[in-house]
Amino acid sequence: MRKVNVGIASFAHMHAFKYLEVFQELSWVNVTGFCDMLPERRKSVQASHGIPSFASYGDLCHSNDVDIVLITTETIDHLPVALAAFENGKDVIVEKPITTNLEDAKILIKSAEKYDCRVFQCYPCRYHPSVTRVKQLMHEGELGEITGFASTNHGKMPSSSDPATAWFSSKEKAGGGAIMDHTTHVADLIFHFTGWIPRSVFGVARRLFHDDINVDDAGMILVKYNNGVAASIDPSWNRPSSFPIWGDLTLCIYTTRQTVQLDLFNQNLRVYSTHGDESVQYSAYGPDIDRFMLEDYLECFIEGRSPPVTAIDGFNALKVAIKVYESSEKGDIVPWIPSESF
Amino acid sequence: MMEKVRCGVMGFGFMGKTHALNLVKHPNASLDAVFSLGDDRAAVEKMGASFHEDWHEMIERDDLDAIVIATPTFTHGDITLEALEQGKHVFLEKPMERTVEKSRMIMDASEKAGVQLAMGHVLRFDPRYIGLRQKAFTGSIGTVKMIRCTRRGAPPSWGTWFFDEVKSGTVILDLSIHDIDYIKWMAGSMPRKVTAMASMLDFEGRRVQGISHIIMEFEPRDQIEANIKIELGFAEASWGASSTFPFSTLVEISGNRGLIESSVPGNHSLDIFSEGGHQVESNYRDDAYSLEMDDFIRAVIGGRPPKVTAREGFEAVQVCLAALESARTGSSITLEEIS
Repeated sequence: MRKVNVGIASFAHMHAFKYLEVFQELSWVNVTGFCDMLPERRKSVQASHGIPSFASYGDLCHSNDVDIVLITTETIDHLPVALAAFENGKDVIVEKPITTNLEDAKILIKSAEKYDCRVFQCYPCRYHPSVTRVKQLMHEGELGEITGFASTNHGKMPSSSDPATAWFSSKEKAGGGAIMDHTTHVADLIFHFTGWIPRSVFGVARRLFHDDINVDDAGMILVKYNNGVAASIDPSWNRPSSFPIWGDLTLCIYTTRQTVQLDLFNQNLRVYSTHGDESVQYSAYGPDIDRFMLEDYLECFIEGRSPPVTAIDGFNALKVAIKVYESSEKGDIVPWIPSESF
Repeated sequence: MMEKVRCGVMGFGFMGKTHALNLVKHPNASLDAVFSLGDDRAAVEKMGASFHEDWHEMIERDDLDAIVIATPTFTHGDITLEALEQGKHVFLEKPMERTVEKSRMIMDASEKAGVQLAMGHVLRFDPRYIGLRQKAFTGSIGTVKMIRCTRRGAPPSWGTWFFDEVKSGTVILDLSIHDIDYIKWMAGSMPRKVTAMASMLDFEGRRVQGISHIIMEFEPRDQIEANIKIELGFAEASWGASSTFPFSTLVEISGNRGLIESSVPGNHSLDIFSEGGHQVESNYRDDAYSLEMDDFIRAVIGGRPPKVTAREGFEAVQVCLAALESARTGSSITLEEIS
């Protein structure tokens, strides 16, 4: 198999460290360079991984040693880095959410089209074997007609005092708080399962748990689909620091014949220790969904296939979060209003 | 002071039987009469009570002090009003009534009648829900800001009237009312706004709200407990689960310094797996149904108000019907519209 040279645009999103680990485990993938704007992080990545560092995202995208760019910058920088990659004829793997707002997402999609570049949008939950299994059951007609969804994507708040993660609670850099961070995973899963377009959205965005941030850390969301089915999403950062794991992703799917409960990160060992402040910690032994996703993306890249999860999927998931903020601002249910086709 | 409260039970379905058994066991109560439209004479007489096919006749009996009402929701008003008129104490199964108007009539009549009216909101007696509440009130998770409750199960198999919106008020008034009352009780106030979305399901040839998601927005200033400043409440309730699905409930109380959560199934002290299926013998420390009946009997004997009053039963119906209205119209409903 041909080798793939990956360039990593920033470790601002902590998933980049996990992705790097996956790349390094794959014999046919080389990480040929990275760029990070935070000096301490840049030094530490260089020291621990010995990867060449580029001075700017532009240089990274321009380099002949880079075939594909992983964009794990602050969300606000997804668009400029992607544009630089496209201008250099490079495909991108982009962390979710695709951008901080719908206008940027549209520019990204149109530019990718113009330069004939592919966008692989990171939604690793689609690669969880339990999700694949449910998708297969649906495909085989084993599940009845879907009558409802109820879901959560809880988490701890990324630390606002740590310069590495403070951007997650910056409206400017992340586009919002918990709702922006956590709504899109579930919205994408429901879209993945059904392809349904919402009819209306209601959401309440609040800052309830953390005094040191200026974005929402709590939310409750209702979505009504065109066929009348209702769904709810709780995307809150309400897991305290002592919580034994980062959070959860649960999805209950009601159908006319079955009831399906997904709890994607429920395969954990319980570790009791006298080290540190916490009395119990969960240690995950579940499937490595990041690895499944990246392997598939890079295989698609090599074989010239279309991305399994596209920028338009990213746009649709982002639109749910954007509609939630719009609804919260108005204090009422808002209509979906179909977007222009791309 | 009366030694034993002489009780008649209206309705002998799932809840009627449960209440009848708890009255038989209670040291200060007796089960003297049961009204049922079903074929229950033998079972009732075996319990030492007389059987009535006419509910007026049972209410008119001079030798009954209290009436326990566990008939279908839409009949609560007529029966309760007549019982109150006859000077009977009333234990009324939730929901209070199908409509706000009838619920208000019951509340007003009970306040004038000079007897006790207890509402059967059983979660207020459930050791698990009480434990959650007490833990939250002590400040163990800082200031409480948000509550999320879910209640999932298969459609009720013990009556078809549940699927008639006009009679039951759907899954919202029948099932979600448990969590709505609980969240309201935690907040100690009415929500200022209610927004709901629901999926319509087909049951017994009827299309009815079968899975509901309800968001309640509260005004924290209305809440007097030091550690309670709830802004958001969420309740999901479902009759949409399949028949093999174990009835499940979850509560998450979030504060600015922590989280308390509890879900059932789980935390059983005894599980029995037999050929016929899985049976949980022990979920709770005490049985909430017998505790709520005990509170009613003590209220009658002691001449004090019960733990869950008519007003609270009324308010729970108000919120539920606002949610029903919101789900139907696709708009949020504000407190002014509720009251």
